[in-house]
Amino acid sequence: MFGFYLSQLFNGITQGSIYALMAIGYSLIFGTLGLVTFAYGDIVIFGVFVGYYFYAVLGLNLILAMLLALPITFLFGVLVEKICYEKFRKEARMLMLITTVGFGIFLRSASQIIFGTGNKSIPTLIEGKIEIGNLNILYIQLGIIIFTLIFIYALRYFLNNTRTGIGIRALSMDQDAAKLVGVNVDKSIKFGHSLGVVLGVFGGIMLGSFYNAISPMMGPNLGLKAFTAVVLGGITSIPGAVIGGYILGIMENLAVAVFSSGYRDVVAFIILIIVLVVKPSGLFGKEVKF
Amino acid sequence: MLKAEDLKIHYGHVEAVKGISFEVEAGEIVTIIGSNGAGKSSTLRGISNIEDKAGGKVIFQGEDITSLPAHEIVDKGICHVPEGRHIFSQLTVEENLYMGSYSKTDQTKAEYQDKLARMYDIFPRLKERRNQDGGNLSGGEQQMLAIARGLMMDPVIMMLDEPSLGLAPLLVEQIIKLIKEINEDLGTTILLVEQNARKALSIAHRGYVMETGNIIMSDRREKLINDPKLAEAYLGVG
Ligand SMILES: Nc1ncnc2c1ncn2[C@@H]1O[C@H](COP(=O)(O)OP(=O)(O)OP(=O)(O)O)[C@@H](O)[C@H]1O
Ligand SMILES: [Mg+2]
Repeated sequence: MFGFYLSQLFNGITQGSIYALMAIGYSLIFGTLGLVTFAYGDIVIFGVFVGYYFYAVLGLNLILAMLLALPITFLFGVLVEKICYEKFRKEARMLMLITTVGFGIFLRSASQIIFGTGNKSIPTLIEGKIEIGNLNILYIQLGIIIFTLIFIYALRYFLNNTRTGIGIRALSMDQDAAKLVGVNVDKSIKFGHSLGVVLGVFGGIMLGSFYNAISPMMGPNLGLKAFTAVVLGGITSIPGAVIGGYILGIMENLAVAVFSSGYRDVVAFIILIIVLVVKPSGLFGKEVKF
Repeated sequence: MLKAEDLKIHYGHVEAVKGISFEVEAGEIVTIIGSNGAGKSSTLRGISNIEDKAGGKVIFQGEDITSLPAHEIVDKGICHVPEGRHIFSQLTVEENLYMGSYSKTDQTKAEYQDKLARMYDIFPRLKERRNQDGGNLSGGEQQMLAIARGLMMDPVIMMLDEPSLGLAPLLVEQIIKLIKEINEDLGTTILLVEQNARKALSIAHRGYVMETGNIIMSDRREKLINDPKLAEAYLGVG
């Protein structure tokens, strides 16, 4: 029995890593645009499908196909920014919010037309497992956890130590001031947004590879998970997003262990409602307006 | 050096700047004074293109920069220290200064360090607080930081928007003195926007007086100081 909980905990950490990746991507997008997005999950799934397409339709090597999807989704992120945000920078912020809702629906429908409505299966990126006592740890789980940590540290380094990164942090605090010191705000916003998209897509690839299935209909659900994780952590805080992701992943899997797998998705809603009622600024964030 | 011709800034139906023209020569300190809502900040925001212009032209060193994007205007050597300081509140003091050199892509690391050291010489207080968040500084320190951040870009001209706003008299004195030193020692041309007309005119060579979107007077400093109408309206009688 103890072993069962332990393995659920480990599943939770794996799942939490994926949510953490998606959440830091979301947090980065929120930071650069100063606005929540409702298209995130659909964009992420679309990106995973790009990789799937390379693999299943064009017959590329699985890992190569998924790696190739990342730069392509970066460019796709630039396009999304152009469509959903660029033209509306000077308009009421509500407008951009609504464009993301519309774009999400559009993308989900388009993905269904292009890739089909059903589940597609993705093989595991890394096969194999190790057994410690009666605890089974899959290599893919270790891979996910390690890659997540690498991405988190790389992002941290980028934001704290590079010119572009510090510029993105600066513009997320004060766009006018950023312009006045010479930041090409338009370009930096596109960069930050696309980087957020790529992080999310990477998380999506890990998810698809862990559960061996993806579908265009997963988008809204994934978007909700990422949103919940960042709200829990404090929406502008990247470390908060990481912690929020892990808490969500672990809670979900414990709920599955204690009740049944049907309860998985309820956890996110419960966390979201509690946080928004009790502490809208999240665990580590400052007060922000959505 | 910097010339505005028939500059117009509108916010919807509000005509904040109604077609003004003025000029700043190299090496000068020129001030634009005027009371609340006169359109002074809008004028500067229009020049640095963080506000759209409804009309007019901006010429800098003979080049038309009217519609250059804001970051390219910075590249030309025009520094705008905005009203309300606009410090990056969650960047450290040092990161704020680093952001000041953002446009200096051809600068070596040593040159950057050198300039940073010079800023810390001028502003020892900033050195003490280099690792604190900009948002935790006092108003006076934030104004120092805003100016230091501007100086990091080696500006040809510095446009300062109400640097004395909200500061204690002693600090106002200090800032005004500093602006004069920047002009004299570094040779930086200054366009100083102020409500505090007396202080601004104490260091300016020339001044323009703005009222509800128009320039209503412009003259050399001695003339402005002794103008009876101005004395009543802006300098406080006596
Ligand atoms: N973003 C804006 N939207 C609408 N109206 C604005 C905006 N900014 C300024 N205004 C209006 O334009 C006019 C000029 O404002 P501006 O800030 O340029 O004046 P100012 O001379 O800098 O005043 P102050 O000394 O108080 O800073 C004012 O009537 C102001 O209300
Ligand atoms: Mg003003």
